[in-house]
Amino acid sequence: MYPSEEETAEAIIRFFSVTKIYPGGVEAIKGANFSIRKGEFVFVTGPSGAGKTTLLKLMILAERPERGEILVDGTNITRLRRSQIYRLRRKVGFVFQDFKLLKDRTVFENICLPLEVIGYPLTKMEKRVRRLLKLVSLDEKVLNLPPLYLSGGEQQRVAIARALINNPSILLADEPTGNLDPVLTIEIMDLLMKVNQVGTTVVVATHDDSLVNRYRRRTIVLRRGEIVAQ
Amino acid sequence: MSRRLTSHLRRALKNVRGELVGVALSTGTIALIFFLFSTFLLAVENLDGMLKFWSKKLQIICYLESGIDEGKIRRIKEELLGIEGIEEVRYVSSKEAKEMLVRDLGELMRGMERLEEKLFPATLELGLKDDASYEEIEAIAKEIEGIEGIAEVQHGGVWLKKLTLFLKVMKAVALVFGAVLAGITISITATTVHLTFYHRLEEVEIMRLIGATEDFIRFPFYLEGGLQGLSGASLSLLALFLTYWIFSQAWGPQLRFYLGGRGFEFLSPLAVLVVLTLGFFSGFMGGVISLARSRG
Repeated sequence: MYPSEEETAEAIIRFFSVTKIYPGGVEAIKGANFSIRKGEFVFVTGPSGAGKTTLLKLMILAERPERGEILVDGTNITRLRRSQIYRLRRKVGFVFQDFKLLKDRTVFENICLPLEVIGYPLTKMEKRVRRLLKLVSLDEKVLNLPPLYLSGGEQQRVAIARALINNPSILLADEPTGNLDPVLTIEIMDLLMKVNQVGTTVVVATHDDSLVNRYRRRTIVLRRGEIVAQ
Repeated sequence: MSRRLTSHLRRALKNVRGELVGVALSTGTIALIFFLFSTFLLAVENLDGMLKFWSKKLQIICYLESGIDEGKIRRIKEELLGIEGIEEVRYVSSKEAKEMLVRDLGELMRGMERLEEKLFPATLELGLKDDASYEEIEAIAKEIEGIEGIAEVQHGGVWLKKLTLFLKVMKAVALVFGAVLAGITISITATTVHLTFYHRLEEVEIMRLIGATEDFIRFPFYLEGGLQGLSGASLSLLALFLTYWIFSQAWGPQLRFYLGGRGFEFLSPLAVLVVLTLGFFSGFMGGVISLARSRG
């Protein structure tokens, strides 16, 4: 079923009959139709291999669909050329289960990476980073440390700070609590809620039903690549 | 712009530090190849300098017909000075010619002092402009041969012609050598940069996901190739300079003698610049070619 016109009007992400087939003929996503409104918090859930990560990757064109169209912030991203993808990714923050921080850089350098790639002035970076550290509840003392000196929860906070540093309108998080204990999981989820409250659209992929039940937000449920509920 | 370049340079140096052994091996190999090339350039430059030095000393000698009077000699001198390229004309009488030979050959001329002066023909020695080529010398000599009162004309243009031709061949070989060298450097740096790139693939992927352009991601790798080429070329020049210095210290006077009074010199600033530029750009191209097929 296609998203309704009302949904479409406010939508920041829209999928139209999107199908992703991996080499070998595996259909990771089958004809997905849904939309996500601006400022919404959405869970994408389902068992391992259901297609959660693929769905998120499609939103930033880390994977290209075989069929269908995807609109992100008014742009049909399926028509973007390879050389134009960076523009989309600068509007979308991404948080990974394994943090994906650069081990040979300090926390400060990791957080600033998205600004570095757009040539943002270093002097202004510091101001932004300090403001973000407060949001993600990290001490300024960690700024000059390499990420491996931090706990898992702290590393994920750094990753979230990096994803938010250039004020993206959308934050995608792929199993952001997958490597964390229950206490840290709640802390990170609360942080993502806080990010959502300041107006950022947040999409979290998780296989953890307890989180979905605890936070009670709109949930897109995937089974073997098909959306079975939303 | 400079901030971005600094950032690229920092990342390039980080790449080098992360792949130190590979980079050291490739830089060493490049240095060795560039050493051979620089040595060849050194030989070409010194040969070129030697030719220029000698050509400045070239003279045309006109042997005058016997019994020619002073008035006629004066007219010939005036005519010669009117020819373009001739800057000086010096008259050497039969008497002076004999005296010079006796003086120059010393002991070998013992007993020959009694030879008649008329056996030594009077000559006119022509001083030519500094940058006269062998073609110009030949043309002047031909023109002079037609002047009345001149019996024979001699000049060193023939050997100058041969040496100039040899130098031209050497220069052509240097060009081919340079091209081959660039090819080898490209191939070596392409391999090393390829390795570094795949060792840093995770970082590259992260960069892509946060919205870095492909140029931003790749430029430090190109720069890494350029730095390898530049380091190799610099090392080769350093080694060449040390070799040159030791050589000059040990055999400087002998070399000066064999080079006809001209000293053995190190590469000109232009040649140094050529070697360094060739090193940097061939290394840079190695980086470009290495990553050309791995667009994200």
